[in-house]
Parts: sequence; C-alpha cells; structure tokens
Amino acid sequence: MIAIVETAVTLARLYGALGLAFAVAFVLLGIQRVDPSARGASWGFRVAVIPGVVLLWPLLALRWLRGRQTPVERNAHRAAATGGAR
Amino acid sequence: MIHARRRAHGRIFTVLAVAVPGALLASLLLRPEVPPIQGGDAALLRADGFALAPPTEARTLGAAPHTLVVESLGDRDGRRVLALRPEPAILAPDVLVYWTDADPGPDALPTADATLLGSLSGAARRELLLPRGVGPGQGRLLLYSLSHQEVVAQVGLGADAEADR
Amino acid sequence: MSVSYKAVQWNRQKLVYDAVLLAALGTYLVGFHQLAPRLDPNVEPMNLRMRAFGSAAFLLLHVVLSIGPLCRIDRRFLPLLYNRRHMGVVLCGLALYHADLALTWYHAYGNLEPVVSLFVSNPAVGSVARFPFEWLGAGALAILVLMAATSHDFWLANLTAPTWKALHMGVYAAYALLVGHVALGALQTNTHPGLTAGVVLGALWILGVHLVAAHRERAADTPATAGADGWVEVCAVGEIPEDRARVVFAGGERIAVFRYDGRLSALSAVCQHQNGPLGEGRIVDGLVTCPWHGFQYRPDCGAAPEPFTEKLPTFDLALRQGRVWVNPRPHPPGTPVEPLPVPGAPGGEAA
Repeated sequence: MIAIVETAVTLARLYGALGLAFAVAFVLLGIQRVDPSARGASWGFRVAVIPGVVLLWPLLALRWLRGRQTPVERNAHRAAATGGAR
Repeated sequence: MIHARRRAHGRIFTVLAVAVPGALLASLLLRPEVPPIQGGDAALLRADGFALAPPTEARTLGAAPHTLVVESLGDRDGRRVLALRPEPAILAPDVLVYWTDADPGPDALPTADATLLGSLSGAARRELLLPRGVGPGQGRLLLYSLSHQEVVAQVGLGADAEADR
Repeated sequence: MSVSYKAVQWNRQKLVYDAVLLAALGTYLVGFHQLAPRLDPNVEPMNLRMRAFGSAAFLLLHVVLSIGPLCRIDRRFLPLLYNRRHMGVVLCGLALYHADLALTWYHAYGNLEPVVSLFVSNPAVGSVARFPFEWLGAGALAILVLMAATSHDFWLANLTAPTWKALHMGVYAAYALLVGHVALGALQTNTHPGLTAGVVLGALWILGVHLVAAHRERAADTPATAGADGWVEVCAVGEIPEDRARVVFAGGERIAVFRYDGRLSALSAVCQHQNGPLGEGRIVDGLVTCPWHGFQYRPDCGAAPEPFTEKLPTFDLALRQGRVWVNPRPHPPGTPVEPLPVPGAPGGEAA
C-alpha cells in the first residue's frame, strides 16, 4: 500500500515537473501560436494560465506540435450547419 | 449549457438526489454513540487515586517551589486519608510519594522503611492513605522523581512543621 | 475573443463583487475564531483554524452551487453569476489551506511523507466512524484545483465551452465527495444537532434548487412539432416583446427569435463564450447580449462585433398568418440572413 501510494505520488510529481517545464516554454513561445488572442497578452495573464498548463500540458503540447489553433465548439446546430449531415 | 450538458445535469442530480441523502442518512444512523464524560466516570478517576470529594479546609505545607495543599479527609479502614494537590503544578517527572517517620536528612533517598503511598503529577488533587497507626501531624512526605532518581521535596506533616530540603 | 487576454479584466462590478466576497469571508473567519472557543473551550488553535477554513469552503461551495439554478429560476440572481469563477478560485484557496493545515497537524511528524501518510495511515474503509474521510476531501480538492486552474477565459476558448462545462460539472462530484467528507468526518465526532441539521438542510437545498432548475430546463427542451415542410412554429408575432426573444427547441438545440427595430432575426441560442442562454438576453445597442457575461452578437448574422470573432449559426424566418415560423436547418455560423420585417411596426413594413 505504501509503495503504491509513494509510486503514485512520484508519478504525479514527475507529471507536474514536466508540466511546469513545458508551461514556462509554452507561455513564453507557444501560447500565441495556439491562441491568436494571446498575442501581446499581459504577463499577468501568462502567469495566471500556468497552473492550468501544468495540469493539462499534454493537450496543449499536442496542439502546439500539430500547429493547431483554438478549436470551435461542437453542438447540434453547428454540426448541422457545417456538416450538412442532417 | 448546450442540450447534452443540460441533460447530463438533470441525470447527475437525479442520481445525487438519491445518493447524497442516502449516504448522509446512513452515516448519521451508523454514527457511534460515544457519551460525553459524565459522573459515571468518577469510579475510574477514584480508582486512579484522584480526590473527587469537594475541597475542605486545607493547609499549605512545604517550601516554594514545591508546596502542597494538604487536606485531612478523616479515616478510612483505620487509616488516615489525605488529599494532596501540588501548588504550583509539580514539573518533575514520575513523582512518587513516600511517607517516613525518620528524618532522612537533606537529599537522602527514601530508605527501606519509607512507605510508598502513591504518585503525584501536575496540579492533580490525589487521595493518599497513610500507613495504619500514623497519627495527626506525624512524619513527613518525600516527593521522589523516579526518572531523575532524586528527592524533589520533603514536606513535614506536623501542624507547624517547616519543609526542610 | 480576439482582444489580448489579461489576467483579470477588472471592472467596477468585479471589484465590488470581490470586495463583498472577501469582506463576508473575513467576517465569517473572524466570527468563527471568536465564537467557536466559547462553544468548545478545549479546542486546539490549530483545529480551530482548520475548522474555520474548512467550514468556510464548504459553505462557499453551497453559495457557488446555488447561483446557477437560482439564475435559471429568477433572473434577479444574474449579478451573482457574473463573477462566479472568482468565488470558485477563492473557495479553492480556502480548501487548499484547510488541507495544508490538516497535513501539517496530523501527518507532518511521522516517518512517511505527509501526503503518503494521508493515504496509508487509515485503511478502515469498512468502518463508518473511522472511515478515511480525508480521501474524500482529497478527491474533492483535486477537482476544485483543476477547476480553479482552468477558470480563465483562455481555457473556455481553448477547451471550447461544452468541454469546459463538462470539466467544470465535476463540481457536482466534488460536492458529493465533500458531503461524504463532512458526514464521515466532522459529523461522526461532533454530534451537535445544529451541525447535523445544517449539513442536512444544505444538501436538501442544493438538491432541491438543482432539481427544480433541471425540471424547468427539461420542459423548455421539448422539441417543437415541425410542419410538413420541416419548418417549426414559434409563436404569434405579437408575443415577442421588443428587444427580447422567444425560444423554441428545434434542430437539437434552442433557437432564439429576437424582435428589434420592427424586425425579427433568429440565432442559435447558446453563447459561444460559456454557452450562456442567449435567448434570455436582450438587445443592447442593437446587439444580442448574453445575460451571463455580456458577450454580444449582431442579430442579423450571428457574428460578434469587431474585433471579436465569435459566430453563431443563423436561421431563416417566415410569417404565416401572423405567426412566426423558423426553419430549423441552420446556416453556417456568421451567415447573414435578411431580418424579417414585422408588419405594422415602426421600422417594419406596412401591414
């Protein structure tokens, strides 16, 4: 039990440490590529998103790597309007 | 919220409306009934030597910093009963109380003929029975710290006795 | 959005909101520290602080969870919703401090790391009185931290509002976990009937307002019956108040039909910002305005005014014998649709 919890805590810390390293690079360089609204954004904003980047960094890393930008939401009307599948 | 989320919200709260009251009810029904400390626990305290009778007329014996508030609680089974309360609280560890009729001299350890009466700690008021046949004001008490292996104080029981240390 | 992000877009309303929130919180914490030792003179200072912050977080969660359904029931609660995310971040801070105190006080002096000790020192999962209720608190805390960390508009835009909402509906799981945390923790040792009654009434209130709101939403989501041509009848033209909308459920989502300047326009009724109920908004300065955070769209094309970039699907309208009909087949977001003139209205066509 102790070994399991210690391993889980270590893995969580590793994930967080990688996330933090990624977050620093992301808020400096990547964020404006992923989201055009972040171009010229304030320092306060960049610091404010760091906790979230540390938690969700794989998602943003993939998006940055693939050169994708802010997605558009999906709902019934949008699907019907753009897909024409209704 | 979009329609899918509104539907999810409705379903979540249908589940929570059953689960939350159910869990609350179970946890309250299965909650252990631990009674708060009441008079019924007096027997335990008495067995541990705490004096539970209301304080009576008391004398303060001994010299600072180890003075004892001493009350005479009469006789029990032909033995005199004293209530002792360190005032101020005694700070030495593991204090045993011996009675002796001899004068062991300053800093002497309790001798073989000294009688162990019980223990004292902090500012707790404890009941101690003197040896059979000991009269009023006779002999003295040795407060002995078992951990430090030294006599912390000597308290004479005579009405006009001065503690000598 | 296409205006540069800021850490917080401060305005007067947010400043007043936060000031009231912090003042209320300060009053509660000071009051708790004054009052609780009178009720329980033996309470340890560390325990006192732990209980003050834990109970403040639990109470604030009740407030946060009440805002959504209350706004669905009565629009006068909408000002509370405007800055709800700040309340959530403050709540997360209270919970984190409560957890830090508990870790320090109960787990910091052993030979295991405090966070490891928290999860291994009490395996009595089969007991009610000794259940490791800390695990439930830790689970709830993880959800609250995730929510607070993703509360900025950046996350709404980059996760999209439906995904963001799904993530933030985790608060309901956090709430259930925290009721368990309190019921199996504090309530097991503190049997004061006032505390028990408070927790039970709080749960009944939260469940009650959410069930009422869910029932009303379900009623509003009854699909309208389509005519032979697939079009859907909305209402009589006179039933739509000026600068307001009537909402109809068609095409799998709500459509809002707005009346303004003697004309009618129809938009998909979910705001792109946080999926707020656009159909309950008004026309302000000629723009459809979301009742939640004031995001705006042009009624005739569903596009947000420059420099913003949000776009909503639009719909065709028709008048048939004085009644408004809508085609539930949407146009792509931002497509201009000629507004339908209201006969006899100023700005509209003559009857």
